[in-house]
Amino acid sequence: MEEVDRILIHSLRQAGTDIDEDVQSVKQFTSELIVEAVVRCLRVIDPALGNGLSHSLPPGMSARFRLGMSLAQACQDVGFKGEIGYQTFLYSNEPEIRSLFMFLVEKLPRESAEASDQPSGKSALLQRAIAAQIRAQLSVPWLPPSCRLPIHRKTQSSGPCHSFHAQPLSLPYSVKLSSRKQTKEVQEYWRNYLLPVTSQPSRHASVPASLLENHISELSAAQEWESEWNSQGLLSRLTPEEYRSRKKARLQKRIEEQLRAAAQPRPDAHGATRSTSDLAELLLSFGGVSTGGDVLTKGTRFTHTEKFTFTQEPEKAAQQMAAAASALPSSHQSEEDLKVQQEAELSALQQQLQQLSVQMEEVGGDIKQLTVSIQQVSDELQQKEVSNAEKENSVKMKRQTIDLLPDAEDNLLKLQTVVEASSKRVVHLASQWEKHRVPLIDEQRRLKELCSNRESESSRKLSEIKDLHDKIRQSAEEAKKKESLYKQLLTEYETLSKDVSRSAYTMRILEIVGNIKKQKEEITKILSDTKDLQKEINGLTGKLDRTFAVTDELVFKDAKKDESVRKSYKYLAALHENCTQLIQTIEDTGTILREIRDLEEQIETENGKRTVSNLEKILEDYKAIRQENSALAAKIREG
Amino acid sequence: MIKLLDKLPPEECPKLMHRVVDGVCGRSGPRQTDYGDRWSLTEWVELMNTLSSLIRFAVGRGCSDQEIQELLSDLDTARAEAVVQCVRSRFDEIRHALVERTNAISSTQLQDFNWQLKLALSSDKLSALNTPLLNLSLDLKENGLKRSVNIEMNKEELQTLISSLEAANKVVLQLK
Amino acid sequence: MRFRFCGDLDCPDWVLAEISTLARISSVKMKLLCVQVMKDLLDEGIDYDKVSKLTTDAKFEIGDIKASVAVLSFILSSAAKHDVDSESLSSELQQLGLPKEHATGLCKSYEDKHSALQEKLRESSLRLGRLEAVNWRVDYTLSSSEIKQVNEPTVQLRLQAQDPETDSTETTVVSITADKFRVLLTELKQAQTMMNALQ
Repeated sequence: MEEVDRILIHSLRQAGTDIDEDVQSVKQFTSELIVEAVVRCLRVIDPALGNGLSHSLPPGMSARFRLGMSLAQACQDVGFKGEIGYQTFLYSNEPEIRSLFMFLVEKLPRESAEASDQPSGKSALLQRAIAAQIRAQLSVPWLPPSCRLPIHRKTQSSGPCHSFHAQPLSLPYSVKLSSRKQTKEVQEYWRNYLLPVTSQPSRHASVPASLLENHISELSAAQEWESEWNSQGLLSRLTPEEYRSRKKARLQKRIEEQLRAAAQPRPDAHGATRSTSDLAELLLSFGGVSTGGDVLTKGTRFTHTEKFTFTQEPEKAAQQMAAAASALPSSHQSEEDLKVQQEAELSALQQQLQQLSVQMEEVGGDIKQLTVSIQQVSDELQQKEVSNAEKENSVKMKRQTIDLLPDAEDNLLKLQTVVEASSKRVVHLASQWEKHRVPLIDEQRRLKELCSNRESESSRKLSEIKDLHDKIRQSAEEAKKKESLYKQLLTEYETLSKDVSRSAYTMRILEIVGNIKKQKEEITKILSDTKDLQKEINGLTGKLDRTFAVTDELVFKDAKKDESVRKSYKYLAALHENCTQLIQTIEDTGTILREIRDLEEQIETENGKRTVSNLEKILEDYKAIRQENSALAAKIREG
Repeated sequence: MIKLLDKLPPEECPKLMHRVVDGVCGRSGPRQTDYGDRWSLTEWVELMNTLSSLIRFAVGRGCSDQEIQELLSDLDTARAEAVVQCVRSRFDEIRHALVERTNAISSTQLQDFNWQLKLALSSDKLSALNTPLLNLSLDLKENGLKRSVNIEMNKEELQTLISSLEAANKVVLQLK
Repeated sequence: MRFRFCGDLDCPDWVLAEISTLARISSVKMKLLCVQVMKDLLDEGIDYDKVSKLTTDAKFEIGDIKASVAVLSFILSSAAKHDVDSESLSSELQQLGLPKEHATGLCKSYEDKHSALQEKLRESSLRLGRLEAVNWRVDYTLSSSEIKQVNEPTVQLRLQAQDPETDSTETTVVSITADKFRVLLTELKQAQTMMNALQ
């Protein structure tokens, strides 16, 4: 029974009844608890029916009675067939209550069945969530803007309230800086003057936006760097810093070349001179160490031309000034004269100006030509110098031979000895060289081998590192997947947790089935025993009958002849009859005993129902109600 | 103008300078009310302008400490040293701000962006639309005026945008 | 009565009235008329000469022709809007008094073009602007008046988007710093994954 009770209590708890932990069986249920449990169950089964009932027992007797009656009525409405009245709830007896609860729990709707009706799947879930959200929002009444609480603002205001505005932040720790050791000043700044991040942006609303953007920026930078490093950087066998600087250098070189290529085609265009010189300057500064003397010479050429054009202009200006000044002194004359003079002067000056500008253009052209010719001339000069040096060399050689000519034989001999000596020296040197060379070549070979070994080692390690990286990525992905799976399972588990007792139930059921099997076996054993007994009895009766018939016949035969035998025959018949009667009586006793046992059982059950005490209680209730009624009547009369 | 800094005791100089740098980096700078008893409003504005342009010049031209000291020759050594230290410690930040200002030379630049993912459930044409849409709002600064551009994209359009941006990003990565 | 092809609402009176007009032409002719109307709905162009030729047998007035085209357009587009299957549509039309052969013919052409029609309706649904083209350019800034050595890439982006109000194409050119650009790209990718997760 306790298993049944446990299941019942579990189900009642699910229906919303607050049952204490120490209540283990239906026997321990108080009237209050019974009423509450029944009302909760009714509410779940049929909300319309259950909502009209209070789940707490009222203090007044008549109210209790009424509640009991309506509960009984409701139970019958739901379909309970057993005997039920108000006393069932107020003066409970265990088997009745148990059967009532079993009926009610069976009637409880099954949640799992309900859940399986709904279509599953992510999109359906989303749709349902959206539908629920819209329904919830529609159920909120519209409010004028001034009355809205923050809850309403989200759903009832038009459009997004404010968009994000990010501002740059100053943070002591970031990806860019972490690799470097910070100087004392920076640390001082962090320690003493850096504002907390929440007060850095000018508007408070920008704090989250700025932080998020900062984070995303650094995160994506780190990711990009990592992928680049894994795909290219690792293969270059450099440290990250070296790789970075090499890449930068390569980039600079590329840009520099492109810039120069773009600037080259029109070095003599006058207008472009300034910009090109700027460019050259830029290139100069930009190239830094890596650019050689090439740029330097270029730069100087540009600066030369620049200087040239700029020094020309001031001179011209000075000339003009001088011309104007010479015209000025002859002034003190009449106004008209002055005017005429001035006009003449003006026109003259304009003419002069025009002339000058023409001249300037010419000069400019000349300059251009000159620069070009200078360039050509300098090129020529260089070539000439080179050829000159060659010629000088040959001349020197020839002069030496001419000097040697007069004393030819002597000199020839000397030369021969010199040649011999030098050839000897060459041989000597060669042998010496051989001596040095052999160990050096060995050394070189050894080093080469070492190098190749190292190379293969490093490439092996590189591939290992790559594999490791792949593995790391895979493991990370797997971990992520497993985590999500774990989460999913966890949520599933949580939704399933109501059915935890399922396994316990099945176990109990299996046990019960086992018990029943055992009992069945026992029953069959007893049955077969009984059958054996019956058979034996039957055999004995048959034997008796036959013995009796034989004896009867024998004695009857003899009885005709002998008087005493006839007497004995009579006795025999009487004995037989008596024995049959005896057997009959024994059988009757057995049936009566059985009947007695049945009746006793019935008495027991009736006693269990405590009918008498219940009747007494009902009587007392009746009296109490009458008292209450009379008290009320008296009150009415008084009132 | 830099002489105005003499009104401030040298030990308070670093604090002011760091706030000025904050201003240069696009955050809120120092407030005049905090220093109202030292400088008048016009003096304050002049001082702020001088200091911030000095900081920008020093970082933009890549001046050495020596050169900055020369620029600050009007000041006594304690204050000048405070300025130099401030510039040195915030060099990267200021440089970043100047790069931002360089970008601001173009006529239109992106200041912020916001996006919003929507699921269109239904329309007058189709009762079950169920189309996800992405709303991208770009806050632009066009010739000093703020303007926002809204683009609504479906899946395919977003894919086009992302693949173009990816291609651009590949080039950007080469240039870093 | 509520009809699924009317979105679980009652059928409009004019549709009810014109269904009897439809019943006047033969079912084969009506099916051909359906094909023409479907072409109109799919923006493939309707051939009005053909339409009038189809309806000459039944001695249709010009008003009748207009009405029958209108009622067919309504039935087809509304059924596609509410995603009604052709069998339900057929039974509902028969409930409204359309002869069985007519209803079957109409539903046959509806079934053939069902998905195309829905796709068309999906396309023509309200959109607040579209992205039409993206162009980009990456600049490498060497130097500027602000700072002598910049050496940072910037991205110029040109977005051609349709303005929802004027229906004209609006071109936006914007320059983005490399950092901001990276953030934009990362966030857009996040948005894309979320979008893909929706379906």
